[in-house]
Amino acid sequence: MSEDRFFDLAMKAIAKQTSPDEQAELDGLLTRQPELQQEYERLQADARLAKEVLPLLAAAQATEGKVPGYARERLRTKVRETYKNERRQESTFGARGVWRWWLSLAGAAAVVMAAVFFLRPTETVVQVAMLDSVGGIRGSASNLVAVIEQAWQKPKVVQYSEGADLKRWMAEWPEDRRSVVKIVYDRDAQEVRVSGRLKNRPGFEKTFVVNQEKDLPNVLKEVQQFIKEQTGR
Amino acid sequence: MPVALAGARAKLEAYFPGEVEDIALEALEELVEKKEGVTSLDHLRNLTISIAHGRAISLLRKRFSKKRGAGETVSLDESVDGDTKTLDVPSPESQLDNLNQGELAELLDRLQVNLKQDYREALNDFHLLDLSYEEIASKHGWARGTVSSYLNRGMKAIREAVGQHPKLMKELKAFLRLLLLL
Repeated sequence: MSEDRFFDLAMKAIAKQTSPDEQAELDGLLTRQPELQQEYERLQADARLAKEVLPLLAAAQATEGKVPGYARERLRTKVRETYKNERRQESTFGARGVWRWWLSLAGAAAVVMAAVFFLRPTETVVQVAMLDSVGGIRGSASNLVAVIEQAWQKPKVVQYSEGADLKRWMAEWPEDRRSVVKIVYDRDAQEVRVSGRLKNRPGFEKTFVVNQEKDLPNVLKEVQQFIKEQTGR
Repeated sequence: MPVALAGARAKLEAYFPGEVEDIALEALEELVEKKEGVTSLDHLRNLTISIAHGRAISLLRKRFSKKRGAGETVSLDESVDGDTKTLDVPSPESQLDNLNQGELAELLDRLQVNLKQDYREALNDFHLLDLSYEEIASKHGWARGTVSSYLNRGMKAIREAVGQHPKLMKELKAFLRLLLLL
């Protein structure tokens, strides 16, 4: 009698699929080899668990079903409330960007809430710097800083007037394993440079030209979009 | 939403199908607050299912408890059996019911990885659809021996996943002790 045969007989018995001959064969086995009784009981327990857990595993593949209209606003409100609390505590791009995305989708869809969770507040850190070696001659940079801060809400914009200082800042990356995105608005070169080091993924770099400063808000939108694409969010 | 619905349905469909949608929505609301620790879409799905499952269990306990009289803690099995109408459904209670959301989500995470698709299909067909070995073989174009092998490996994968979960192991041992008494 092979182990496989015993397994098949036991499984059939558990599912009440044994023929009289097979049941007699199993009973005979259990009588002759009492040590199999324990395995049989264990299989019964496993089968019981399998019946419970298989529908839950299948649930993960489900694709049908929408948030009903009456519940959308309730869900949106819930997300907004949670978002407000998050905003008070966190200042990363991840928290804000994804929550905003979630807010827009909350009413419409499914468990696309995924992204809310992927970008945990501490997961992607955005650091922003501005290089402006001319400064005063071109006028105050405070408006530009405000524009940049508005784009990412909280990250403080570090201002440099020396390229060497900026270079040093660019070389400093957090030692922990968080994903970090560094954004530099180089006012001298009229460009925005983006560098990312992502957790468990290749990094990225891109330069965006700012033809005129009044275009900066639009360029920053492109930068945001690019970062979203690169971070997968 | 589909995952939350399916998670709630897995437990409630047989008893209170009308409550599935409400439970799924409640689960989504709760999910919004539980973003910490979620690192992947798979885990998010499993957490959603776990929350929906937990809420479904609470509802079942509450409803059956009401039928038996408030304040009384009774087994759901007893409740069903004691009802004037015998429901031809599997027992609503399982070892999974005593796991918290995080624990159940972890178990599902592990099973999603360990339980290969072929094994899962074989187990589904056998345990949930009550198909015979021959019917499963015919359905998938597998040899009969392959069905046996997939079922065997699938059961082992479940056993291994459970083996890594102390609380569930405890539940299983209790169940085994119960079997020995019968």
